[in-house]
Amino acid sequence: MATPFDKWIRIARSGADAMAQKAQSVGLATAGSMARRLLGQPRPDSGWADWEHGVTHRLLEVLCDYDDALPDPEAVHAVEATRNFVDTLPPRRRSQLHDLLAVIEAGPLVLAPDGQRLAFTSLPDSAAHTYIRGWSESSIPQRRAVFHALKSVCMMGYWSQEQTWSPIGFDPGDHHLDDPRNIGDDDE
Amino acid sequence: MSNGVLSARDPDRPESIDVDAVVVGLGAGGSMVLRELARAGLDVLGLEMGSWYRPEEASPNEAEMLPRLFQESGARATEDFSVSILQGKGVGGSTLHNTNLCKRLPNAVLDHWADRFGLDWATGESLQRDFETVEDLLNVHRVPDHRVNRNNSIIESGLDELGWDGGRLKHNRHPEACKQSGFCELGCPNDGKQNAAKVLIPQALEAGATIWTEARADQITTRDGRATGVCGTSVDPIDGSPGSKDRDFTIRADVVCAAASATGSAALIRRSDVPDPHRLAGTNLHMHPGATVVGLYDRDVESWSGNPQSVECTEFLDHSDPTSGGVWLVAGAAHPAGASTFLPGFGRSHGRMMQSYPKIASIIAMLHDQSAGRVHPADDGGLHIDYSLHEPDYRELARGLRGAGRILFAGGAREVIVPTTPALRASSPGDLDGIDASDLAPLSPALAAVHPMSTLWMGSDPEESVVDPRGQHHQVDGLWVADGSLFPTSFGGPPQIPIYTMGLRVGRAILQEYSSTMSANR
Repeated sequence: MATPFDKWIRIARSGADAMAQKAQSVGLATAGSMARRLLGQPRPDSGWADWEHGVTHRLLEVLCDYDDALPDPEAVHAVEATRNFVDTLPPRRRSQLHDLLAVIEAGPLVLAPDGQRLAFTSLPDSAAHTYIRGWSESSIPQRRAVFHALKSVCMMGYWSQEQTWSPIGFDPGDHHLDDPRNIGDDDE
Repeated sequence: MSNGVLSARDPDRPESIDVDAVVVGLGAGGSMVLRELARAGLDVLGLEMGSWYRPEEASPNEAEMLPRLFQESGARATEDFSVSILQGKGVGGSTLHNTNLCKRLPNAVLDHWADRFGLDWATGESLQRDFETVEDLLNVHRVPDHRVNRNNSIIESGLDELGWDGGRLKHNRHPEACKQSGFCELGCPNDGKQNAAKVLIPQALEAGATIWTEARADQITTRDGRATGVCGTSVDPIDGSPGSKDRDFTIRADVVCAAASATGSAALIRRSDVPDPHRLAGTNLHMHPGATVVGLYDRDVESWSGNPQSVECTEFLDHSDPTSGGVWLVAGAAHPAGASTFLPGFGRSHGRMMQSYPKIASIIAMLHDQSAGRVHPADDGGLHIDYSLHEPDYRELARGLRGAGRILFAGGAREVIVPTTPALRASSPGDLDGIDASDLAPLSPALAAVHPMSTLWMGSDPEESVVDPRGQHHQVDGLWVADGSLFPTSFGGPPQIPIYTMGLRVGRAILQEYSSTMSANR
């Protein structure tokens, strides 16, 4: 017997990468709404729903799956920093980011990376990487756009944390007026 | 706050006022107009969406500074997300975060503007004199040898090796106050920029101008074909959310000058009851979109340190044919979060690239774009931007990406990364030959633009331009424009000196027109 879930799967599968294409053809808000229905998650009235926090956390785990020389996203509170950054965006842009989180969470239910039809946060590591790579290297610009937008805010959350700087050799110095690096004046 | 500067969110701010002139937006153009009008004795008010930034508030943290100094926290983008658009906010506008590059408009571009758009002044000596006035005011000078950092030295030596056109740029930094912190794009912590906020705004305030910060103009009011003022509201300086209705304001003014950038001014005018019989306002958007090519070196480059941009490559710019476009190459340094965005991919391979961060040099291939987009006002007081590259610009971009890679190799790179999808990792110059327009598409590579322009362009024919050659709107008397919107075409170079100079000329034209109108009324 068909369930409401099956109905939404059918709708979403009506074309390859339906949600990503919807993001541009009928608007990201529609794609986000469609994804949320697929997930059975309402749009939060304000702020962040727990599941959106979870998607951001999982995204950071995958995007910043670096080797041991670099700190873990959890250790530098990158999820909180990402959320704080998203909260500085104008309401419309912020809403788009929330829509993108819904799209990325629901996407595996349609795309089934490595044959696994699970929400993104439930995918095992290998499938999660395959899934995100699918967005980043897709031949469809709208899918690359989803990846690019989410990567940008997550990277802001991670790499703006000072603990990530010294492991890559970045030293901002004391950049205020008493900076010792005054290397001369412009008179030649 | 300084004398004459008031937050529109201040409970003591009046609900309505009468002034001679109101200037919307206080970047390079608006600040110059504000200064000119105030010094001539007009009662002039400047409105600015952002805050009053002070160097001592600067932080080296991108997540803290982008929301304060950039529209939409630096996340503004075209509707399809294919081009990020970095535009400033705050008193000083984009001059707070720019890298201080100074160039005049190329003569061939000015010739084209004179021939095609009827801008007779473009080829006259008065414009060159005005450039000189602005350059003197802002202390523009050639970047000296000891202020060329290693990223730019690599470009300079690459150009020498290849025998390509280019060379040292000029900038407007204070010789002593600039401490070479390298944090130009996050707001100078040492007040080393001779920019609008440091040079022009204090002079305007000294002359009696008033500024309302955290104030968004929502509509230009008109009556009988004449501008009568501006309505607006107070906004949160970070996310731009409007305050409550009781924080709305009305400014009655004889002169309205839109200087809120090629996106902001176009959206404001389109949102207002301003006649546009030929449906031109907001169209013709150019923005010099660019992509960043990265070179990996065996030695430390530390491109974040020192003056970020001091050398240019003009090998691929040919202004002799105004329709041919081209691509301008300049250093593309960024701090960690910015760099992590333009380095391709994610996970382990991305982490390894980030661990090479001190050994990276980069070049932005920036299009002198012939493609044109459109700005639309949004219902929430913001704006939408549609823009897509057409085929000739993709060909130029491919040429620029190849050229940038060759310079990096000529400067000693062991590997060059071109951010297409998938990324090209070239180990020799020959590997770059295959980059072709057919490899490029939206988000391959992701583009960033910092020079929106041309949406309210000047011209003598009201059917083919939005404002007249002096900057006054063709359809509405007393409505002027003074920002990058004025340029009829893109030109493939840094726009700040041209915008400051247009501000000077528009300010002067307003005074001339204002005094003759007032005399007639008397």
